[in-house]
Formats: sequence, C-alpha cells, structure tokens
Amino acid sequence: MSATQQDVRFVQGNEACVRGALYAGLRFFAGYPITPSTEIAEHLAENLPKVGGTFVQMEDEIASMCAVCGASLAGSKSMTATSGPGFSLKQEAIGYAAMAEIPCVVVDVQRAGPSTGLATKVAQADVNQARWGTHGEHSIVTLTASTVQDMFAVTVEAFNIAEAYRTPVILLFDEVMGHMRERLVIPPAGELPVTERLRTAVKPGVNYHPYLPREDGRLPMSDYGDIHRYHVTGLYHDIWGFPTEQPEQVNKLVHHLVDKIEGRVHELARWKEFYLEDAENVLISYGSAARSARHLVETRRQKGHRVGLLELQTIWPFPKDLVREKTANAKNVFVVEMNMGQVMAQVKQAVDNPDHVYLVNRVDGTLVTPTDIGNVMRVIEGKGV
Amino acid sequence: MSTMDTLMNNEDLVSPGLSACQGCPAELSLRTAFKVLGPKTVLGVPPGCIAGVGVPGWGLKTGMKTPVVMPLLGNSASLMAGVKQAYAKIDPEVHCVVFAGDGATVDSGLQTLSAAAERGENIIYFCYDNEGYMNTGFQKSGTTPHGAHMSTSPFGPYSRGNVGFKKDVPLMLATQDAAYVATLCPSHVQDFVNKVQRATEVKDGLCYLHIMSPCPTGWGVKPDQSIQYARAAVESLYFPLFEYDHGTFTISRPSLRAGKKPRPVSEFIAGQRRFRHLTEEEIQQLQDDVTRKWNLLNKLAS
Repeated sequence: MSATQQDVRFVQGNEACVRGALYAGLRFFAGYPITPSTEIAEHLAENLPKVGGTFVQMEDEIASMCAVCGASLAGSKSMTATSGPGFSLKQEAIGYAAMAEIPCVVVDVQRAGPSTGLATKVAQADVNQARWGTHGEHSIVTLTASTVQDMFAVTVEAFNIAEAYRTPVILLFDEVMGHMRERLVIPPAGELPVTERLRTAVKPGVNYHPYLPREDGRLPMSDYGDIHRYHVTGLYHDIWGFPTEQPEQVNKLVHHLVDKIEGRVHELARWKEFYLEDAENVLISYGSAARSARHLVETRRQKGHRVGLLELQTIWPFPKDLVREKTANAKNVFVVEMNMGQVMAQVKQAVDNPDHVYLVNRVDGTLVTPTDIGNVMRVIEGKGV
Repeated sequence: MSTMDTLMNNEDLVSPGLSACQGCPAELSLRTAFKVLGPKTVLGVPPGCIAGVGVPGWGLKTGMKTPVVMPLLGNSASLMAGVKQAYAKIDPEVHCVVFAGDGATVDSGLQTLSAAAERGENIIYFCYDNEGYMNTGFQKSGTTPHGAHMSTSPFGPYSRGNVGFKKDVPLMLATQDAAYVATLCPSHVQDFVNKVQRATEVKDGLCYLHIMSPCPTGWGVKPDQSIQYARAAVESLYFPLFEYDHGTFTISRPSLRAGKKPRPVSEFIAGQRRFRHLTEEEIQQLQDDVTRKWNLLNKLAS
C-alpha cells in the first residue's frame, strides 16, 4: 500500500485501543461509563454495529464483565473497558474468567486511587491489582503501551494472547495514554497477525472435553450452546467442566492455570529498548512514564551520557530473566513509575544487585517528568540535590 | 407552614455561590428540599452532577451547611442506612438523606436501594433524574427515554438512539412496599414541598423521592427553558406526579389536572436535540408508552 493510501489518523489513545480491538476481530463489548476510559465505550457504541458486532451499556461494572464472559463463551471476541473503581468491581468476574478459562480482554485506563481518587488524573497504581486483584491462585497476562501506535498494537496482541491461552488479558493503560492524541497508522488487514479462536474438531454427538488440553497445552473451544453440551463453572472442575473436589484434580487445575502463563514468560514478554548496549544507568519504565524516561535518555545521550531505557510492555507475567539480562552491566537501575514502587519490587527481585535499584515516582496525579528522573539520578550519582 | 412561608423563612442550607451548569434545576431542587428538611440533616451525595458541582465541598469551600458524606457510586443507600442506624441511637430526629443522580440510583445503585427499602431503613432517598450520566459526557442510563441520542446510544446509520424504555423505579419501589414513594418536579414547587414535608414525617421505612430534572446541556435545550420542559414533562403525562403512601397510590393534583386534557408528548419532545432524529412512528411509540403508563397508574390509584 502506498503512503497516500495509508489509513492515518490523529486520535486519542482510547480510540487507538478501539481500532486495535476491531482489527483483532472484537465483536462484543459490554461496558459502563467511567472516566478516563469512557471514550472506548463511546467509540465502540458507534463503530461495533458497523461490523455487525454488539455494544451493550450495562447497569454496572460487574454486569459488564459478566456479559463479556458470557459473550466470549458463546463465540465472540469480547472486551470491556474501565478504570480503577470499576476494575475493583470486576475482579470477582475476572477470577471467574481465569477459572473457567474464558478468553477476554479487560482494559483498565488507570486513574489515581484508591476509591474515587482523582477521577481525571493519571496514576499507574493498579499494577499489583491487575495481578492479584481477584482471589485465589491463578496467573494473568498484563500489557502496557507508551504511544498511541503501541496501544493499537498491544490491543491486537492482547486478543491474540487471550484466544491462544484462553485467559483474561489486562490492558493496563493510564489517563495520559488514554487521552493523549498522536498519529496512528492503521496497518492493512493481514499485516499484524490475528489469532483466531481455536475451535474443536469434535463432531456433534461425540464426547467433547472442554477442559482437556491438547499436547501443545491449548484448549479447543466449542461455542457455548452450539453443537456440544458442556458445563462451565467457577468451581474447580474436571475435563468435562463438572465440579470436583478431588484433591488430585484440584491440584492439577491450579498448576494448569498458573503454568500456562508462568511457563510462557519468554513467549509473552514484549518490550522496547533504547541505548541499552553500553548503558551505565538503566531506566525501566512503562506506559506514559516511559515517555518521560525516553525523553531523558535521548537528551542525555546527546550529551554523551551512558544511559538507556528498557520499556516493559508485558508487566505480568513479569519478565524477570529479561530484566536481569538487560541490567547485567548497569551500575544503577532506575524504575520510573507513578506508584509507590510496584514494578520496582519486581525489578529488585529480578536483578543481581537489588541495592542499586532506585525508584523515581510521582503519586500526585501529575505525570512524572524528565526533570524528576534527572533529579533522582543526580543524587544517586553523587552530584548533589 | 405554607409553601411560601417554608421557602421564604427557612434557611437556604446550600452554600451561597454554589451553582451547577446554567439552567440546571437539580441545584434548585436541592435548595428547595433542604429548606424543608432543615438543618438536622446528614446528606450523602454519590459521584454525579451534584457531587461534581461541589456540594460535598471542594478545596477549602463547603458546599452545604449540613454534614455531607460522599459514598461510592453504587451504594449510597447502604452507606446512609449505616449512618441512620448509628444516628438512631444518638438522635432519631436527624434526617439521613441521599441526593443521587439517576445513574447512581437506577443502574448501579438499584440493588442497595431496593434492599434498604426491603429492610425498612428510615432514610430519605432523592433521585434527581436527568435521564443520563450527564457529568461524564451524556452516556445513556437506565432512565434514558427510548430513542434518545446519547454518547453511548448514538443515532447514526447503524443505530437509532437508545433501545430501551425509561426504567420506572418509583413504581418498582412502590410495588415492593417502600414506606413512601413520590415523584416530584421543580416546575410544581408546592407539590414538591408537600412531598418532602411528608417524607420527613415518615418514621417507619424508606422514602424514595424521584425528581424530574431536565438537563439543558445533555438534552440540548436552552438553559432558560429547563423549567418549561419540566412543566411539559408533567403536563404531557411523560412524568406523572404521584404518591405512594403506605399502600395507597394517589395521583397528585397537577397530574390530575393534566390528565383531563394532556398535552401530546410531541410538545415535550419538540426542540430537544437528543430527540431531533425521531420519526412520527417513534414519537407515537413514546406517546403509546406514556399513555400505557398513565392508564396503569390510574388503575393503581383507583
């Protein structure tokens, strides 16, 4: 396609997420208005019907998540979008999706919390909630992005991962990313890989085991209510989907739920790196904070400073080996994020020398700036305050 | 005390200078209600327009001359039920009042509201119904009328505005035996004041007062027309005024008068931007719905 034929737009991050979801084959969205994610619902209310999809505004956040579970089981690629307070409400149903292995995408455009917090201000404090928000042992995939173009791409990725591994995938954006406008080039269909749902080849009338993994670990699905009858439950279940309390089956399922994600850390890791080859000071960041980190790296490189950036796009499962490898030669590691050190805690566990990991943060509802990062670096490098 | 005396003599318990969008009658309703409720009142305001304009206070400025608590969006009824239970032991004369929008009431808050009514919690719950999530940019809610163009129920080549019909929570709560249920409209102040007065006298259960509150910004009408539209809602029977008091339905006087020769719903719809795409058939559909509801109400009140 020539440059003139490209689909180029100047859009908010939230709209890029919508475009990515439609590119990936989204056909069902259930949501509830909440700042700063509402634009996702508004754009989908207009655009989903155009592709034959369904948009439903539900009565609350819990209902939205449950409708998404139902629609996905019945065969549609499904998504919901929310922000902190809504994300809290959805947690039980996210656990249900994890337990019943329902592929779905949950967008959390983070704002400052807890509770109502700062409804229109930025934060990145839902990192741990994305991982541990719902109760019980499970694992989950969480992706982030720092440009509008990347928001498009990781949204497509999120659907691919959800479908491939039958798991909820959390897209952890933030208020700045959601509302910032940037150039978006929508690639022509087929340029980015799109994973379609793996449907069972088992014929009608033949026993179908919804929870019997194939050799490669994937579970072929059958559209709920279509040609096979099977059971879906949030209880521990056997390969038929029927509830069980047999310790060996429970044990097996816990390990399956955790291993199918944690065992694929390398496969699931997405990241970007800038000037890491010879960096003495390595910044680790994600989301909108990574933009400030990148600005600092670019300006300092012009002055000859050996500083680099590792931008994590996959936060969960946390790519420990990647972080260790990329920081192996660093004197200092600075984690730039807008919380009290949720990713820093993971980085400290990952690196060989946790004492040289420092936090650069801002938790006042404003974006962490390159100056903030520079100030902390100056102190650590012994150049005064 | 007569309505005029109440409004003239009682203190305005909403801070001076506090104002909502131009022409918003929710602020007027709040001021009017509090003149009747009096200073021995604790107010709960969940997120929404009225919280957004600063009623819970902002910075160093207070929004009310009474204590205000800001609950979560979907559970004001339970939080205020807790407050009332505690106050019952301190001073049972204190009114525990919720002033919530329609989103926080009929959508996410319905479970806690219905449960509070079932338990007989003695709180006064006001819902100012502007028929959408107006302070976040006009998303549709459970009380958005059929066909209305909202940001999440757009009119376009693939959709024709809101699919559902307005959820009737006053009737729902009446049929589940809340102690006192009433519909109020800022265009009919005397009726408004009488109903709030009655709510303050009820001591044996939940009082639910549903206020029609035209939103000039969201409905797409001029700010100086909001009371005219409120009046048209009553006179076209789109929003009938009635009371349900411990088992008895009564149609209120303004609606009784309107019922004799109701204005067509099209007069209420005319000029509203959210309805401008409606066809004759769709308007007729709304009219039929209004007539059906009015007949039902008459049966209940007979």
